[in-house]
Amino acid sequence: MNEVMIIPAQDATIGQEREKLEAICLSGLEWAHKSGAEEAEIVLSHGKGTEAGVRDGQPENLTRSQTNNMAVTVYAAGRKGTASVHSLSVDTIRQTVEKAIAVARFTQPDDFGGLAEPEQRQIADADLPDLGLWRPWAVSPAMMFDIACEAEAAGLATDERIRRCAQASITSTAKQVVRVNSNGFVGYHAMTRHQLSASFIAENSSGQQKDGEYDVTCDPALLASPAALGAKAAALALGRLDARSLTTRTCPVLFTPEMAARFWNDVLDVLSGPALYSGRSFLAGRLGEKLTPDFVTITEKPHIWQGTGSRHYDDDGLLRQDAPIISEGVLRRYVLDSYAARRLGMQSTHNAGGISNMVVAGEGPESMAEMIAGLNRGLVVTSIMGHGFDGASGDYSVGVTGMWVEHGEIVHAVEGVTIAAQVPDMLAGIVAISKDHDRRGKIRTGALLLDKMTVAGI
Amino acid sequence: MTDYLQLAADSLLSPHALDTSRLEKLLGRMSGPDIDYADVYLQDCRSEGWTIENGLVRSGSYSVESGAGLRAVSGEKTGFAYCDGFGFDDLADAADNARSISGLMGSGLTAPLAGRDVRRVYAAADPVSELDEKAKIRLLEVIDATARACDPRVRNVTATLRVMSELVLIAASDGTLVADYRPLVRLSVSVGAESNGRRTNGSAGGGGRMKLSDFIASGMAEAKAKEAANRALTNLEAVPAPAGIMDVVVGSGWPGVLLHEAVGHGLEGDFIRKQTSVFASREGTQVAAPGVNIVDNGTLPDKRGSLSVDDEGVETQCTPLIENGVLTGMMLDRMSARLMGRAPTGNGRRESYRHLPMPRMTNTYMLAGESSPEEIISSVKNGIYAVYFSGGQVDTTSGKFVFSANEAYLIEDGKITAPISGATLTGAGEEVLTHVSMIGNDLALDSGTALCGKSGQSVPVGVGQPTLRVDSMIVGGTKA
Repeated sequence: MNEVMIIPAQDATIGQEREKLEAICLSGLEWAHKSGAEEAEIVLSHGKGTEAGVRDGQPENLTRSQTNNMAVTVYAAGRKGTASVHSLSVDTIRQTVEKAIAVARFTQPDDFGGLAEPEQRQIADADLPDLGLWRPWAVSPAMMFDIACEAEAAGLATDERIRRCAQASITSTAKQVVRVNSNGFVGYHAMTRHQLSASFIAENSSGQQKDGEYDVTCDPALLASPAALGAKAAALALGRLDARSLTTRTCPVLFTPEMAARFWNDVLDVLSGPALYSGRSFLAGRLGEKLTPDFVTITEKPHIWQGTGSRHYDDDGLLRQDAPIISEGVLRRYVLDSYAARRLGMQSTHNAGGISNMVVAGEGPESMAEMIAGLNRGLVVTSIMGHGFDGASGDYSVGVTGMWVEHGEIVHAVEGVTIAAQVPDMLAGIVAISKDHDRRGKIRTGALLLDKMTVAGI
Repeated sequence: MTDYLQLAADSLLSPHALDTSRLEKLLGRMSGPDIDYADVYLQDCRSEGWTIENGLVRSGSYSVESGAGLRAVSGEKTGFAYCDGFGFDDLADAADNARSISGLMGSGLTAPLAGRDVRRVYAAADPVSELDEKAKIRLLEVIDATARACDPRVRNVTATLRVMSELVLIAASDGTLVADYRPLVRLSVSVGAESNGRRTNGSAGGGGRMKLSDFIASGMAEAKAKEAANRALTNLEAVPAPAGIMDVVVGSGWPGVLLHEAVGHGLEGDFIRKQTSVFASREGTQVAAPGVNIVDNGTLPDKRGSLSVDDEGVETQCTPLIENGVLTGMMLDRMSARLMGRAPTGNGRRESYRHLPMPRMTNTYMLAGESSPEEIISSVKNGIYAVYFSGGQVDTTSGKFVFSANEAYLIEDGKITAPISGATLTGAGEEVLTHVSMIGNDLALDSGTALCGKSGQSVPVGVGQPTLRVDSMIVGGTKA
């Protein structure tokens, strides 16, 4: 097919919805005040998207979407109520505010509730750095089908053992969000996301296996080449053929950057307010303690250029902070919003709505390939199945597929095994973190090598 | 009996200047010689949620999700668009967008819509507005108190009551015009216990498509509070799970999630049609031990996974999937049925109007056998008894599945001994059923909390089974 042309759309659209959404929000705040709410917050979002999927070189599905959402939170007599609706109309805002107030009549007063204290210093929007998140793509469905077809064709062409394409699709979305609260906060966030993905079925006498690859970016010009992505997806599926189980053993375990991000996401969960105040975190009361070897540093970085989680404000309307979570191996802070902070008797870490971007850094080789080459014996984990993490006890036990490595070489693909350990032991047992970060998600980490886990198999 | 078509006309159509002839216009816009099928799905869903946490109902939420999804199907191609609300202009735009999957213009021709009543498998209940808010909050307070009364080591109790009522109207180019009114109640309870610095968690829940007052009167809420508390307390005594191959006794009811993962997804028509399922060409062959019978049944009264009609307007049914170990059926939506030359089975489901329908399970379970649960446990020399799971996942292509136990015990010399923590079970769908060596006489469905995810869409389902003995499963623990 022809080379893909990236045509940037008019950036003018970025301001258009903003004024309209802000006006609805402000009228809602006024109505909330009139209706007896002491405090209120209103979040409106408007999104547009197109998804195109192909099969056998032909369009298979085309989805056009327009999503509207209005969410109202009120505090009346110290009680909280929320209401939401899939609409942005001016009529609806009043009804939604009233419904939130009606809900608040029945909830119970919460001493820790209420909006966040407003920021001491107000920063004008113009003084906030551009994060490069709004890059609309004037792409026609026909062009999207072409791109997905190219990825599909590239995968199918790699090897005769690639029998079928399980899925090849491309999605382009643009979303604008306005958040206002009665403490005077008015925030606007606009972001585009363009995603290309493909997965393939590989088959030989040992059976069939599926794997795939995706890429997601704010800027369509940076999206992976469809041919390269399709070929990589097919190669991953081929790599799973002839997978077999392992005998039960204890050995080093290496998580790919994508799976390492998934592990860190579990750790992040037990650093969050709700886990801490409801007894679901083994890390409660562990601030200032050493969790990992000295060389591990985990830092929140809210302002990464075109980062998936990049934001100026958190969902309380507080400025996101560039601040370490773990440094020199020591747990420096939790991940709290204002509510959790009040409840725990701590300060908000400006993490309402979760983390922005989290960067995991440490000592280790340049790439996962080098890390594997240096591994004497061990299991490389390429996918994780199940939800076997208990935050309260720290027990971690999940099903995985991957590759068995001996003397730096991949010996065979692995499936039908589980890996298990206590998360504190996993953290203390970090051997290395490679420098080739996966940039697709909010959590940016390289491959993670742990000294040992229990592998259960045949 | 409430006339749902009238209710839909009154609350979804008339207020927005819509009527049957305008629905026909929309369908006509999407129809044409190259279009096999088109439909309009109108949905109005109201839900309310209340959570008690540490003794206080600190917040409540109310939400309205209403809008329309429009779809045009041409061969294997699907064009889909949706809009929030029911404005005719928005619907017409969506129809044109859906139509654009085909290169041709709409013909304007469609079969006249002929409304029909459907057999109902749940009552016309509205659990959102049936009782006042105080009754819902009182229920949560009772749950909190019940769980705390179990033991002083109970530290944290969180319970969420979510009630929903949903009205849908489905109009299709073959003349289908069907409405359904769907209640849903779901309670989940999570209890944290602490002793000597060790923290554990236990969860439980229940619900179904029923009146909230019936749910409250059933006493299930108190029972689930105790169950979650006892689970957390049991886990305080748990020893690390062993690792390796073991004989496993899987309890009745909710552990049927094993079947859901191991065979259910692999028997969904889209995976079979596209040959991405491990069961794709296994119909008529022995895939399970003799005596194993598995069905998908959308018609069970008041169950969470039940539907009177699916989201394509097809009446649900009881579909045999595996009979005496032989693969005999699969779950089909209209599209996969048409492309495979079969009849739809009432399994076309969607999360909402913002999502495309696809083949999904309803209530999927194994029928009872003859052994008593005690007999099954005493037959195992050394193994695991898995009573409750926190979730599972399957790779439909390789058939490999995993699920994690929230309550499990060691079996030693035929007797249940110590509770174990951190146990994960893994296996292959096409193998595990051949390893079923005993089937209990105690068939039970889960109590009504299961949520199934597929391709980013979540739908409520039911799972179930009798107590089963499965030989040689891989148990993943830390104790090698």
